[in-house]
Amino acid sequence: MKTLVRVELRKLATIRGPRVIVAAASALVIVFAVFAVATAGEGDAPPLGPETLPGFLRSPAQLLGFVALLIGVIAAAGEWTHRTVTRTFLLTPARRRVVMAKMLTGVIVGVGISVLALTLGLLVVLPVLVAKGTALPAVASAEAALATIGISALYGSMGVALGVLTRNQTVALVAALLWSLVAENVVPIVMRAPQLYAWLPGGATDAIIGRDRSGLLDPVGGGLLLAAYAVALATTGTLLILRRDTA
Amino acid sequence: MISRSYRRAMTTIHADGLTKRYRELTAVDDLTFTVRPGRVTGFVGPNGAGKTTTLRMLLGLTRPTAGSARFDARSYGELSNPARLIGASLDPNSFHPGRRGRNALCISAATIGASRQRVEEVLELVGLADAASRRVKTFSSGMLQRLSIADALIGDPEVLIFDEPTSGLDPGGIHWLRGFLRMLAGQGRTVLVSSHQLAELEQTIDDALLIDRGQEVVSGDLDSLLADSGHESLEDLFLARTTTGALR
Repeated sequence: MKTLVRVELRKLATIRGPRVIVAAASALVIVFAVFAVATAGEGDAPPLGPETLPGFLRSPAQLLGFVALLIGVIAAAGEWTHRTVTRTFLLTPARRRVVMAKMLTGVIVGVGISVLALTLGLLVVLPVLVAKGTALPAVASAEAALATIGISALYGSMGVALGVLTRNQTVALVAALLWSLVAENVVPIVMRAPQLYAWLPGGATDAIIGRDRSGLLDPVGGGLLLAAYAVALATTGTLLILRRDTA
Repeated sequence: MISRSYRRAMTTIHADGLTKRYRELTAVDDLTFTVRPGRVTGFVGPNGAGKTTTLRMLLGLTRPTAGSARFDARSYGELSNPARLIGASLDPNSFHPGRRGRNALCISAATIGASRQRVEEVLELVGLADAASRRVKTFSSGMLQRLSIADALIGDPEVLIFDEPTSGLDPGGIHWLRGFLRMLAGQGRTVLVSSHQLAELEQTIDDALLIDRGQEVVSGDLDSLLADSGHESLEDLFLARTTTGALR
């Protein structure tokens, strides 16, 4: 499995798309960081204080989650888009193992992206906070960083799962966007069950971030729920590719 | 180097009643054949005869509706590291266009536990060593074909399966391929090659397997087939015995 994961990471490292996406996401997080310290106390923005650092560490969670999902989709659906899947399954006929390796790769990529982006952001935020003598709450900051890293890791595997299920990069991304922007808001209303939101991926993500919204699970429960979605999608996708011929 | 004067194992391909049906269409119908080591076997048939489907069933990419394919005693999926025993070049367009040629082969090598040195050897062998640093999207169709052949060779396999390997190659490339296939068979490897270039194929192969509408038409030693049928060439045999011939 270690070899397959290494190979999957190498596949991503040897094409341009993922590198560009990671660079763009890191640049955006640096912008978040500059914004967090430069606008503190202006307008509606709260002044620098004990919440500044955890707030910054939590702020790019959804962005980095989406970026990890995008790369997960490229890692999985990209195999069909570029017809490389034939060679992948020739070299490793055990398709379940290929999917598992890709899921693990999604998690590793998610962790890697968020750690890199947060580290770059901290290089901007920390010197300012230290210079201004702002309190740096260790536990709250660690929780916030873990939430962001966890979301990114889970969305990385979710992207792989979606990619395996759809076998098409565009369909996977459109489905993910439609789900998060439309379906998650509409489904609880249509079903007249607002509490349902807590059990959808968006509700699970909000729970991990620690959003102040009633009825959400606790952060660990949110993480487990999101992981369950990823495993369910990947299992369905795996069953389909086990039954289907490789075109 | 790739060339080995002594090969420890020889592997025979066995197809037994291979059948593939897609709803009403029967692409391959109860096909049984053997491909022997140390020989180049030409797999010939009109468009849609079921050649590619058969090759994909041999390699576990397509599930047979009935029948089985084995390499000696084991199916492709039962082999622990199949690319070490069987190399296949099916589709030269199955490389990521944004990846460099050398990186594409390094990925295959890493998957099967072959060395970086081996990647350089096969690149040298197919004449792509100088171009391998370029992205695949800049490759000509002939270069893609060579890259695909190099990819099949990375595991130094006993069995080689090529689907239309002359497609995209210029006359020089086709000449090179002919000598190359003969060399591989001369080393005791089992070589199965499908092609529409019948005149070219005739100069390369020892055995022929001719199919039409998913069924075997004739198979065996090419010289014997031509002598027994009274045809002068593989092309004559093909035209006389397949539906393509009936269209004339």
